[in-house]
Amino acid sequence: MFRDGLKEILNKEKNIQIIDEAENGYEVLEKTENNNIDVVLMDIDMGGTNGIKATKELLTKLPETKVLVLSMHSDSKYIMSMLEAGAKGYILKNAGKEEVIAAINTVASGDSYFSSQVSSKIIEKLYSKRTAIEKLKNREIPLTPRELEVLKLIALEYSNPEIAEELFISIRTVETHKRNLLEKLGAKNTAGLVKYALSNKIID
Amino acid sequence: MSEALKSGKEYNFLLKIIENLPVGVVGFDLQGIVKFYNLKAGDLLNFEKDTESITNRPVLDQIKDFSILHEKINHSLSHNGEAFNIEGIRHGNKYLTIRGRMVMETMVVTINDISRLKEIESHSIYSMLEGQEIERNRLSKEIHDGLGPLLSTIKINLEAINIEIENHIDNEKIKKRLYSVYKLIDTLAQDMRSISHSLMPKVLEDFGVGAALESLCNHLGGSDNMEIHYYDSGFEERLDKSVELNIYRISQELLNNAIKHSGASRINIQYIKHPESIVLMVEDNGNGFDKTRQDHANTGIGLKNIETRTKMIGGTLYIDSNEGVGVTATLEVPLKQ
Repeated sequence: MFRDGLKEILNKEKNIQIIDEAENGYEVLEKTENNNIDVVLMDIDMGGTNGIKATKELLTKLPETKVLVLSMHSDSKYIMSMLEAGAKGYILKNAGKEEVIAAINTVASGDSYFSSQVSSKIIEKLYSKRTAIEKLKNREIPLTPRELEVLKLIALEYSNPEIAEELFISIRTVETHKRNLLEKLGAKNTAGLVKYALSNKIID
Repeated sequence: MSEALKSGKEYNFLLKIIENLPVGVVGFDLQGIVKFYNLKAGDLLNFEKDTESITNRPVLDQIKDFSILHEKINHSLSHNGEAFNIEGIRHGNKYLTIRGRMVMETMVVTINDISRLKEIESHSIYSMLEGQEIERNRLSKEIHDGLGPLLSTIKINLEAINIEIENHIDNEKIKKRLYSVYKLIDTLAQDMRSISHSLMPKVLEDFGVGAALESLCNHLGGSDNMEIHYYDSGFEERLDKSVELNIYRISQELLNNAIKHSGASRINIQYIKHPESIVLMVEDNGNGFDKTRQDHANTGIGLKNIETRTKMIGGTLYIDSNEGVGVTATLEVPLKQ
């Protein structure tokens, strides 16, 4: 039924021709086979996350096809998975008629199209996706205010019980903070933490 | 006890009754010297095993490793035998309810083993939680797979009608009304999505805890007065389905508690993978509470649910707080090797 409404809108556009429609990932592959299709409008929910799998398979077979995702999911995981699968565009199901048509024309011409909500998610993810080492260098591992306090006291040679007393938290919590710091900063031991604190001017 | 009673048959009769009570009983004077006790008390409080009897010896010596009880009795002794109650405290592998009362000149402490009750209670919470999840899942699927697509369909069909209207009718009033219908549909779709999301986020099923927590924090969004920060160590591997669901629910509950009760300006939630476990930490910088005054009698169904869920996935939960320094809740779940 959603497809019926969509068809009715797209049929009114002179430069868009609807070739076929598919119910699931299997039909997508079958119906794109010999049809010389420019753009495939792809949903994600076709039983599980089948749209992602279908996109990958479709683009392995027909790499020239432009896949435009039309989904209700705005979580970055879905968006990034679709991008990795090779989609050229991603719009949400609450998009208006103008946006759907603009998106189709844009991806057909070889460019990418993402609705504004989607692109801000992508930028956010690309920014945070750089490698841990790079982030470490740029001091981008976000330490919580409490972690910074703990790290500082470790670097000042406080023992766990002393840190606990100083910060009014239990020794057990201090130990967990310390273990988390080791993981987050990729340090092997306390010396590694002290080194990090020094080189990042957490203590003088 | 009165001398008459002490010397008579009645005294022995009374001791026999005490000896066979299903609860632990220990009586001592205001100097803390034990006057009588039964085996059940010795058993529950782990009195010294190698001594014949602890009668006429200080009671406090017997409970050194039971700090809360030690403290209460000590306090009571120095306050003329003030009555005390300890509800459902954990001692070793048992849950005990302990009360102390002055009876004539003797402080009588009764110890009730409520482990079995606790077990039944936790079992019924478990069943309730399980039923709740099934129902949530069903509702969420119905919204997500039924109502959601239907609404998208209504909207796109309306768009198609709109094209006709635009071509044939030039009426500002109708256009305006149609526009407001669009807006209503969008609002409705958004509301439904957030209901479905809070019932059972699809992203949890599709991508796991990290993605679901990130999405949750995005949804909650924080406010001008309260920032919510999320961090995970970026691991992709999936855990057991029920483990994922329970970690997510525990996080949801801890976050909700922090948002509602902490008065914090900043909440940090972290989901960090360690070599042999996963650590979830929710920290806030709010009011906190004095954890030594909690007596382990955990209040509220919320915390009980969290504890039951923790038990279900073999994890440990530790809540640390002090007045003025916020609350730090840590959940650690061992990874299967």
